[in-house]
Amino acid sequence: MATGQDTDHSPALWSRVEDGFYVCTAAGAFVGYVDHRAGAHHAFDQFSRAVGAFATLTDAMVAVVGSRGEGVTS
Amino acid sequence: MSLVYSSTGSEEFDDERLDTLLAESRAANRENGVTGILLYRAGRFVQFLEGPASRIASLMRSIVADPRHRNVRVLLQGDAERRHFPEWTMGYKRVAEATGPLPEGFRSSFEDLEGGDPDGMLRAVRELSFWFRVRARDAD
Repeated sequence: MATGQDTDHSPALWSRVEDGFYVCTAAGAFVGYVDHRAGAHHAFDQFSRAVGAFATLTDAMVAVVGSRGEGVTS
Repeated sequence: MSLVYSSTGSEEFDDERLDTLLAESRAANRENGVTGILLYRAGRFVQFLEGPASRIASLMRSIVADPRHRNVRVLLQGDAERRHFPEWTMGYKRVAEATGPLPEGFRSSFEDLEGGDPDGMLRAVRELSFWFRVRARDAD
Protein backbone atom coordinates (compact mmCIF):
# COMPACT_ATOMS: atom_id res chain seq x y z
CA MET A 1 0.00 0.00 0.00
CA ALA A 2 1.32 3.43 -0.86
CA THR A 3 1.65 6.03 1.86
CA GLY A 4 -0.78 8.32 0.06
CA GLN A 5 -0.51 10.94 -2.60
CA ASP A 6 1.56 13.90 -1.54
CA THR A 7 -0.14 17.17 -2.35
CA ASP A 8 2.17 19.40 -0.37
CA HIS A 9 5.95 19.61 -0.15
CA SER A 10 6.97 16.94 2.33
CA PRO A 11 6.18 13.26 1.93
CA ALA A 12 3.41 11.95 4.11
CA LEU A 13 4.38 9.35 6.71
CA TRP A 14 1.77 7.02 8.16
CA SER A 15 1.92 5.22 11.50
CA ARG A 16 -0.40 2.73 13.15
CA VAL A 17 -1.10 3.30 16.83
CA GLU A 18 -3.59 0.45 17.11
CA ASP A 19 -5.67 -1.56 14.67
CA GLY A 20 -7.78 0.88 12.71
CA PHE A 21 -6.14 4.06 14.01
CA TYR A 22 -3.58 5.64 11.72
CA VAL A 23 -1.80 8.98 12.09
CA CYS A 24 -0.30 10.96 9.23
CA THR A 25 2.60 13.36 9.66
CA ALA A 26 4.84 15.24 7.25
CA ALA A 27 8.19 16.68 8.25
CA GLY A 28 7.20 16.24 11.87
CA ALA A 29 3.94 18.15 11.48
CA PHE A 30 0.58 16.54 12.12
CA VAL A 31 -1.49 16.15 8.93
CA GLY A 32 -4.50 14.14 10.09
CA TYR A 33 -5.67 10.69 11.00
CA VAL A 34 -7.92 7.80 10.02
CA ASP A 35 -10.10 6.01 12.55
CA HIS A 36 -11.91 2.82 11.56
CA ARG A 37 -15.28 2.71 13.28
CA ALA A 38 -18.62 1.10 12.48
CA GLY A 39 -17.34 -0.43 9.29
CA ALA A 40 -15.96 2.74 7.73
CA HIS A 41 -12.61 4.51 7.62
CA HIS A 42 -13.25 8.01 8.96
CA ALA A 43 -10.74 10.62 7.79
CA PHE A 44 -9.87 13.72 9.82
CA ASP A 45 -7.71 16.72 8.95
CA GLN A 46 -4.99 18.43 10.97
CA PHE A 47 -7.64 20.16 13.09
CA SER A 48 -9.43 16.85 13.75
CA ARG A 49 -12.28 17.94 11.52
CA ALA A 50 -14.03 15.13 9.69
CA VAL A 51 -13.29 15.09 5.97
CA GLY A 52 -15.30 12.01 5.11
CA ALA A 53 -15.99 8.32 5.68
CA PHE A 54 -14.62 5.79 3.21
CA ALA A 55 -14.93 2.13 2.43
CA THR A 56 -11.20 1.63 2.06
CA LEU A 57 -8.21 2.78 4.06
CA THR A 58 -6.51 3.96 0.89
CA ASP A 59 -9.37 6.33 0.04
CA ALA A 60 -9.38 7.70 3.58
CA MET A 61 -5.61 8.25 3.41
CA VAL A 62 -5.96 10.16 0.15
CA ALA A 63 -8.62 12.35 1.77
CA VAL A 64 -6.38 13.11 4.75
CA VAL A 65 -3.38 13.97 2.60
CA GLY A 66 -5.62 15.99 0.28
CA SER A 67 -6.78 18.09 3.21
CA ARG A 68 -3.29 19.46 3.78
CA GLY A 69 -3.19 23.23 3.74
CA GLU A 70 -6.95 23.59 3.70
CA GLY A 71 -8.72 25.76 6.23
CA VAL A 72 -5.62 27.50 7.53
CA THR A 73 -6.46 30.96 6.23
CA SER A 74 -7.82 33.41 8.75
CA MET B 1 10.06 19.25 32.68
CA SER B 2 8.53 16.39 30.78
CA LEU B 3 9.59 12.75 30.69
CA VAL B 4 8.35 9.65 28.92
CA TYR B 5 9.35 6.20 30.08
CA SER B 6 8.36 2.64 29.35
CA SER B 7 8.40 -0.35 31.64
CA THR B 8 7.23 -3.93 31.81
CA GLY B 9 4.65 -4.95 34.36
CA SER B 10 6.14 -7.52 36.72
CA GLU B 11 2.94 -9.49 36.32
CA GLU B 12 -0.26 -9.21 34.35
CA PHE B 13 -2.25 -6.16 35.35
CA ASP B 14 -5.96 -6.79 35.37
CA ASP B 15 -8.39 -3.91 35.76
CA GLU B 16 -8.37 -4.11 39.55
CA ARG B 17 -4.59 -3.94 39.82
CA LEU B 18 -4.48 -1.11 37.32
CA ASP B 19 -7.15 0.78 39.25
CA THR B 20 -5.01 0.47 42.39
CA LEU B 21 -1.91 1.66 40.55
CA LEU B 22 -3.79 4.59 39.04
CA ALA B 23 -5.31 5.63 42.35
CA GLU B 24 -1.86 5.70 43.94
CA SER B 25 -0.36 7.59 41.00
CA ARG B 26 -3.10 10.18 40.91
CA ALA B 27 -2.87 10.88 44.64
CA ALA B 28 0.90 11.26 44.49
CA ASN B 29 0.79 13.37 41.34
CA ARG B 30 -1.87 15.67 42.72
CA GLU B 31 0.27 16.25 45.78
CA ASN B 32 3.40 16.88 43.71
CA GLY B 33 1.96 18.99 40.92
CA VAL B 34 2.61 16.28 38.33
CA THR B 35 0.31 15.59 35.40
CA GLY B 36 0.43 13.04 32.60
CA ILE B 37 -1.01 9.91 31.09
CA LEU B 38 -0.44 6.18 31.35
CA LEU B 39 -0.86 3.76 28.47
CA TYR B 40 -0.88 -0.01 28.93
CA ARG B 41 -0.38 -2.38 26.05
CA ALA B 42 0.56 -6.03 26.01
CA GLY B 43 2.16 -5.98 29.45
CA ARG B 44 4.08 -2.75 28.81
CA PHE B 45 3.50 0.65 30.35
CA VAL B 46 4.23 3.93 28.65
CA GLN B 47 3.89 6.89 30.94
CA PHE B 48 4.07 10.60 30.15
CA LEU B 49 4.98 12.78 33.11
CA GLU B 50 5.21 16.56 33.34
CA GLY B 51 5.83 18.85 36.26
CA PRO B 52 8.63 20.28 38.41
CA ALA B 53 11.97 18.62 37.61
CA SER B 54 12.70 17.70 41.22
CA ARG B 55 9.30 16.04 41.56
CA ILE B 56 9.69 14.11 38.33
CA ALA B 57 13.13 12.91 39.40
CA SER B 58 11.76 11.79 42.76
CA LEU B 59 8.86 10.05 41.09
CA MET B 60 11.17 8.21 38.72
CA ARG B 61 13.27 6.95 41.62
CA SER B 62 10.08 5.56 43.15
CA ILE B 63 9.05 3.92 39.89
CA VAL B 64 12.45 2.30 39.37
CA ALA B 65 12.26 0.92 42.93
CA ASP B 66 8.65 -0.25 42.51
CA PRO B 67 8.63 -4.06 42.10
CA ARG B 68 5.57 -3.75 39.85
CA HIS B 69 7.81 -2.21 37.19
CA ARG B 70 10.67 -3.97 35.41
CA ASN B 71 12.93 -2.79 32.59
CA VAL B 72 12.21 0.86 33.22
CA ARG B 73 13.56 2.85 30.31
CA VAL B 74 13.48 6.63 29.95
CA LEU B 75 12.60 7.34 26.33
CA LEU B 76 12.50 11.12 26.25
CA GLN B 77 13.03 13.91 28.73
CA GLY B 78 13.51 17.62 28.53
CA ASP B 79 12.26 21.04 29.39
CA ALA B 80 8.67 21.71 28.49
CA GLU B 81 7.31 25.13 27.66
CA ARG B 82 3.84 24.05 28.66
CA ARG B 83 2.00 21.03 29.94
CA HIS B 84 0.36 18.80 27.35
CA PHE B 85 -1.88 17.08 29.90
CA PRO B 86 -2.73 19.74 32.47
CA GLU B 87 -6.18 18.29 33.05
CA TRP B 88 -5.00 14.80 33.96
CA THR B 89 -3.29 13.84 37.21
CA MET B 90 -2.88 10.53 35.39
CA GLY B 91 -5.07 9.87 32.40
CA TYR B 92 -5.24 6.23 31.44
CA LYS B 93 -6.04 4.18 28.37
CA ARG B 94 -5.45 0.54 27.59
CA VAL B 95 -4.19 0.18 24.03
CA ALA B 96 -5.34 -2.92 22.21
CA GLU B 97 -2.49 -4.96 20.81
CA ALA B 98 -2.54 -4.96 17.02
CA THR B 99 -3.92 -8.19 15.61
CA GLY B 100 -3.57 -7.51 11.91
CA PRO B 101 -0.40 -7.06 9.88
CA LEU B 102 1.03 -3.59 9.57
CA PRO B 103 -0.23 -2.10 6.29
CA GLU B 104 2.54 -1.84 3.71
CA GLY B 105 4.48 1.37 4.02
CA PHE B 106 3.22 2.07 7.54
CA ARG B 107 5.30 2.52 10.65
CA SER B 108 4.33 1.21 14.06
CA SER B 109 4.13 3.86 16.75
CA PHE B 110 5.01 1.38 19.48
CA GLU B 111 8.01 -0.01 17.63
CA ASP B 112 9.26 3.51 16.88
CA LEU B 113 8.77 4.49 20.50
CA GLU B 114 11.52 2.14 21.61
CA GLY B 115 13.41 1.95 18.36
CA GLY B 116 16.26 4.21 19.39
CA ASP B 117 15.93 6.77 16.61
CA PRO B 118 15.34 10.12 18.35
CA ASP B 119 13.17 11.52 15.56
CA GLY B 120 11.10 8.36 15.42
CA MET B 121 10.71 8.26 19.19
CA LEU B 122 9.57 11.86 19.32
CA ARG B 123 7.11 11.27 16.50
CA ALA B 124 5.78 8.15 18.23
CA VAL B 125 5.31 10.06 21.49
CA ARG B 126 3.29 12.66 19.63
CA GLU B 127 1.22 10.00 17.89
CA LEU B 128 0.41 8.22 21.14
CA SER B 129 -0.36 11.49 22.85
CA PHE B 130 -2.67 12.41 20.01
CA TRP B 131 -4.35 9.00 20.05
CA PHE B 132 -5.00 9.39 23.77
CA ARG B 133 -6.67 12.74 23.24
CA VAL B 134 -8.93 11.39 20.51
CA ARG B 135 -9.96 8.40 22.60
CA ALA B 136 -10.50 10.60 25.69
CA ARG B 137 -12.69 12.90 23.61
CA ASP B 138 -14.63 9.92 22.24
CA ALA B 139 -15.31 8.77 25.80
CA ASP B 140 -16.83 12.11 26.83
